[in-house]
Amino acid sequence: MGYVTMGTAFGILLVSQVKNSDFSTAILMSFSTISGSMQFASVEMLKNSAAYTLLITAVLALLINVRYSMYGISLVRIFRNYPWYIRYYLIWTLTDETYALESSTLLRGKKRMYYSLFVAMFDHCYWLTGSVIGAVAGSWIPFDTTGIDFAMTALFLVILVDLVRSRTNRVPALTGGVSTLAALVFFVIFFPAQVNRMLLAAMLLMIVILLKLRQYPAWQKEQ
Amino acid sequence: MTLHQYGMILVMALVVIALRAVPFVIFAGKCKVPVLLLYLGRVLTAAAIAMLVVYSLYSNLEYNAFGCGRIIPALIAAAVTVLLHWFIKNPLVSIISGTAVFMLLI
Repeated sequence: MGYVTMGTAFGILLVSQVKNSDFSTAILMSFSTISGSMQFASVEMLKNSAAYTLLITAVLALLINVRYSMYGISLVRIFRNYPWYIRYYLIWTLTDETYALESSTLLRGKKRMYYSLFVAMFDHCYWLTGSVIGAVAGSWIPFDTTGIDFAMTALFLVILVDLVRSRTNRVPALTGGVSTLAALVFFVIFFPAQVNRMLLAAMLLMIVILLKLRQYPAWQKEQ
Repeated sequence: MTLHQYGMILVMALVVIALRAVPFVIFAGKCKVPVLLLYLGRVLTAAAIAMLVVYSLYSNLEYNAFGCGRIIPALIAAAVTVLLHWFIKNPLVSIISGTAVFMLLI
């Protein structure tokens, strides 16, 4: 049910931030993508769409969601025995919450397949329902609420705070923040007209630093 | 909504779905999972979200006629959001309070 609330928040943000977007845009995104982190980030990206070429969009989507590739690894053996139409649907709908439920169940065999299918379908519907409620409600909220776009920053902060509760995420988060700040300062000073290009530079910088940091095992342990 | 925006939505959906399918396509056989990929998958989410924090904080300043006139309100509101969320752990409380503080200060 958390997905309904999150979906509502997404719907409100989308229609209040992105010009000419309505509930059909929300349905399109929530039906196809089904990813909170991606869709919340996409509001910011669609709002300043001129700054994001399709390539940058793809790279950013890749960076934010690489974790999805990890989820499947533990489920490859289990999904292999399912009919293709169920397998494809389960892969398509593999979100954080769905993954948590599907991978932790003690059920086996056919029971497990139907359980996973129901979890996936319900989460998909919850997410879609929430987005539509939010998009419709959001179009009633008056537009001239200056500063309401800080909600997006606040949301990213909230996600970040939850992530850094786990020790292993602290160095990566710091790396990401410092790399972006460095890229931002560099572009503001040297290429003020193309500041929006700095995202790609920041991404490359953080990947290089993170690959270097891999040699030091200390920060990668939970305790 | 422009054609470019629909293009962005399509690209994002395709990338997300492709990422979900990657292990099922590659590691279905005996193939081992590359250690480097496992590592990047672990660390990149936090790094990318931190990047979005910095970038969205910056774009909150950008639209002001006085350049960085909003930097103090933005930092105070960010601190309120982080503190509330660290201790109270309720996303709605943190987001609504932080945004309200920012809207009151500017």
